[in-house]
Amino acid sequence: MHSKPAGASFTAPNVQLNDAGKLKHFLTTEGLSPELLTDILDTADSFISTQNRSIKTVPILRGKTVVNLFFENSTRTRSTFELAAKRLSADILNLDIATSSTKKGESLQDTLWNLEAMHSDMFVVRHSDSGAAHFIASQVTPDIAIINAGDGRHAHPTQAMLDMLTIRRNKGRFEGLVVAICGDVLHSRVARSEIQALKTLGVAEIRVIAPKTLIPKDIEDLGVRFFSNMDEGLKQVDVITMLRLQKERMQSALLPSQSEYYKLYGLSQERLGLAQPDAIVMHPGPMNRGVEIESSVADGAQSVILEQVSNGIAVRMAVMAMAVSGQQEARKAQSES
Amino acid sequence: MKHPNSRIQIDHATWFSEGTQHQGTLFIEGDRIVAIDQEPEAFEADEHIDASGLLMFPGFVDCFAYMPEPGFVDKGTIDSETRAAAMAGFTTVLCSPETHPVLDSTALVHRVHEQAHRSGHTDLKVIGAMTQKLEGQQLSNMHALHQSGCLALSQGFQPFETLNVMRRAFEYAATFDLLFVSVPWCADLANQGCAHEGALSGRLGLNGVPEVAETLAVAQQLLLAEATGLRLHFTGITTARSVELIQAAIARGVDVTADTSLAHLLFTDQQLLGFDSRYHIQPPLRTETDRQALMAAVKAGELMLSSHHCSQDIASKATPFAASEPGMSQYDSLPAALTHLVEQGIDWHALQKALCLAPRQRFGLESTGIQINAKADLCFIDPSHEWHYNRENAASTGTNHPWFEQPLVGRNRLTLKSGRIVHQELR
Repeated sequence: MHSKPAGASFTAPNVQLNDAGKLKHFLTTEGLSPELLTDILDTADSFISTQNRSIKTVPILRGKTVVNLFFENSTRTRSTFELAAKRLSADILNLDIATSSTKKGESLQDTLWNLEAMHSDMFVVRHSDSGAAHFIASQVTPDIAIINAGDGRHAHPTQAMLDMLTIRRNKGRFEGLVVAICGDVLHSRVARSEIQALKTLGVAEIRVIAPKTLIPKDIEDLGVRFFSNMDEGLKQVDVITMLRLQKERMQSALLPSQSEYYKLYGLSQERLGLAQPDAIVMHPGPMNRGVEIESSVADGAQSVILEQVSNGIAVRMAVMAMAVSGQQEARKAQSES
Repeated sequence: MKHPNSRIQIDHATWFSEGTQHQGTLFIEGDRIVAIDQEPEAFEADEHIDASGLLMFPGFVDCFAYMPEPGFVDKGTIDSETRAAAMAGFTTVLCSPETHPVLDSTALVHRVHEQAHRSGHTDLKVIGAMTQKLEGQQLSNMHALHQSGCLALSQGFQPFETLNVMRRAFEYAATFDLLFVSVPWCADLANQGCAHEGALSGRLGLNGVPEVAETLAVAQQLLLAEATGLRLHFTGITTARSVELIQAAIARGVDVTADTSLAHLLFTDQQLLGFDSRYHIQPPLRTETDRQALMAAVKAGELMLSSHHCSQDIASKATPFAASEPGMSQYDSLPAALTHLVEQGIDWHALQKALCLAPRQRFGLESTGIQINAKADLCFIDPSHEWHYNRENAASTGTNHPWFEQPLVGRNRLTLKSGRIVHQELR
């Protein structure tokens, strides 16, 4: 026996997998294998075909209860999760829990334990604190499938996977692609999850484009290239993801003004011309037209922004189905042992 | 608890002094070591202790700890936390003024000292507030606080309202040769962060506390201390750059000393992967480069070691990382942590200097080396004792430490405070 080594008791990625390496929670794209991410995309692809039928529901989660737990408001994301759950035939309960960021976890824990006692099968969680979904999955209700619908600035894995699906459906591959993520990377959980997924799926290069005030320190350690000059950064890229810039950033000394930002980092038709001629333009929404993106680009031929929304339902159906099945396997393995 | 005039004989004691290891028999009468090896005439011991296999140290002095009283009794009491300190080997603990209410008056200081005295586990010495209510505006009655037993003054994490207030506070303290214990922290630059600003905080999406939130405060206060003649002690420094700045100041004659907190020698920001809120401390865990620089400075005898012990109730940590309250409960596992540091290359001589000798000198406490007529403040560490850290054997109310419910090696088996046995588990 040694005195306790200075090591963490658990690491982030393992919490979301069962002993067989299958998804039982979906918390982050980090630490998942390329095979697993591809599996999510393939499953989502198969659901896309069901979405074109007149009867769109499939009975995969019949009799299961999904609870949408949104500690932070979001009509759009919540609706797509609700729709995804309904199309899988699950019963869905929507809980809007308005909380201040300082509210203590005791009540968070109690809320979850109460919902667990009602025999829920899945929590879809959005929370303003980074790591909230990990906290719930590892310490509060590990036997309920947790789907992270966005935690602080940390991760938004379903958004990242719907972006991956959109890229794959448009480009047919990840190998060799150059992807640029532009704008407020510092505050973006989407950017973090995208970077991890793109790395795992093997794109040729990931670029982040923004002024230094909107870039996390040491971002290069994540395996990306940093550009402060957007014209340089957009050269020859295949995929452009624009990030939403919240207006309150102007008040916090991160940027001087909306007009200067748009001038330097807005995606105009002219700038888009620097990328590959068949480059696609993505945006996780909601968009600020005229702040980070020119209207004609958002509505133009290279924009796949609405396609992202449709793909979002299929991706959410995929991870919900996979996580419930992963939990069932884990329970079965537990009862057998 | 033995009455003060009891006689204790300690056989087979092993201790460190002036760079070498000694062995022998100690004879204690009242609160003093009365003889070493040569038994005094007519010495009849009330208690015989066999210290075989144990390392004997002068009682540890904690330069900085948080007491939950007054104000936060759900996190523990002065009784529970000083008992935990005594079990860890501390015979003197200096505590932060950041309680509720703030320890800025002689009445409150007396009350805290009195409570600790009644408990009788270890000496507790308040570090008084340097400004009233720690608001950083109006100076506290520093001289009176000193008279009532405060060994030093501090602002904790609370800022001075202006640099001019800081300068005046330093000048006033220097008038009476009072020691200022600084927690170097620019709250403004820390920007409500909860993790070291670096690649990992970026990846995890946690608000970062940049290195300059500490180093800017260190540099600023070193210059002001130099200009005002203040005696300055930095507590809980976390960065390699702070070590350099302090070394350079010492070299040009500034009256400055410093300590780092135990957590910063044990862990780095890499432990935050997984969002375990037990690693949420303030100032945050830094990089491996920083940890190595702190280790080297402790090893070289240039840096003292404090606990920054902070007991938390379960609810305060049962939240997502950023929402949890910062702090680590250090006392229960501290002897195991010291044993771990020795495995990592800091020897017991250096730890003795960092935990006993240097703090006594800096805070003006009676020197208690292992010698005749020295006060019998002693602790006895068994570096090979295997035990399991759990609720039953934890004295602190808080079990907010990453090693909780883990097997550990290294334990303090006996503590003497002024010749009284205040902790004993040898029989």
